[in-house]
Amino acid sequence: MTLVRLPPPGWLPHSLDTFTHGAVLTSTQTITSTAWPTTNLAIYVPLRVPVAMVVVKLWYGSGSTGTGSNDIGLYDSNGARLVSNGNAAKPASATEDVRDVADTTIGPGLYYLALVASNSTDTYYAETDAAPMCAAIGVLTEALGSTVLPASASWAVNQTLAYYPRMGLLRDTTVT
Amino acid sequence: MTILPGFGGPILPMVSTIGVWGIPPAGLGTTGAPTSGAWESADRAVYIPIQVPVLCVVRRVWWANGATVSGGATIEVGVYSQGPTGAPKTKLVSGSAVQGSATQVQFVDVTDTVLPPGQYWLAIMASSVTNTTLFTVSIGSGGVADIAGRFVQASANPLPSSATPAETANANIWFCGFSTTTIT
Repeated sequence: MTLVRLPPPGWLPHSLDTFTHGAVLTSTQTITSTAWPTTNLAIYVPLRVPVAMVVVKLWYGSGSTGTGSNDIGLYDSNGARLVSNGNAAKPASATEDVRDVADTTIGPGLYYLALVASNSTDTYYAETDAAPMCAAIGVLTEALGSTVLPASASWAVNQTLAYYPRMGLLRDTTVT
Repeated sequence: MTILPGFGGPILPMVSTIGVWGIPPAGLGTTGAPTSGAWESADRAVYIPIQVPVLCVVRRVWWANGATVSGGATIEVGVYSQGPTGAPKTKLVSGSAVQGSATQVQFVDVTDTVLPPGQYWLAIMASSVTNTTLFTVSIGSGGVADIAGRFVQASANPLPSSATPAETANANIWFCGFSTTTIT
């Protein structure tokens, strides 16, 4: 008897992000550098993880304006924070901002990548389809009193959100 | 009840006609993001196929209200099984309500309904075309796009227990679906 390991379903590169493994809708994705919608608004974006993996880093698309700070994290489908970077300054450059986090093993399932920004002038790369597109694909938000992601999310459907940020997780350490 | 993710991938919180489990937009020639559009015919049901790769539970149905909702139409969304020839067959669950706020996703609680992995059809019906808009994306006109993407049924208010699908001349893929969560 020969034992074989079934391949994972779908594409599984070193990075899983909100566009490749999110809940995004159409084939006409236009990602632009756009100001964060609201100060201290946490945006939780569904992420489809097909196999078990170790998360070693988190990242987001940073626009060129950066005077404040942010926090990026990963949550399970019940709203429990699994890992986060903590509040850190946002770079004033158009770049991928990669944050090293504690290595975190996760199984296959639905997760949420979360990002919160300290002001509404710093820019991030996002798709800005009109409301209620984000609500319809399962994006959730939470108004926080600070720029630190909570241990337990109190998220809700946001009917007016028109902001789908590009962020992801890395399971490989090459990208810094 | 907790359902663990299977080989088919994680359970999506929001399942829709043009989402990850919906029809492949690029393959059917969709252009752009969904926009607000007038409902096509009173009491018409539109059937749109979806693929469910993993066991999940339908907890709510939903649709995306467009910019004009003053018509007070009743909107109904349902899930149908797929028959042996690939057409919609039997209604499994549905929910309806008078159209609510503009440019919002409107949810209706339904009896929790387990869907095994397989092919299904989402159905959406509106009772009026007057001041009734919903978000939609076009799959083009003519050619094979409309045949590949959808069926219709006239006089389908409320959604029938057994579908009698007919060929369609329209090309709207209405943005609707079901939710596997109860997050509000």
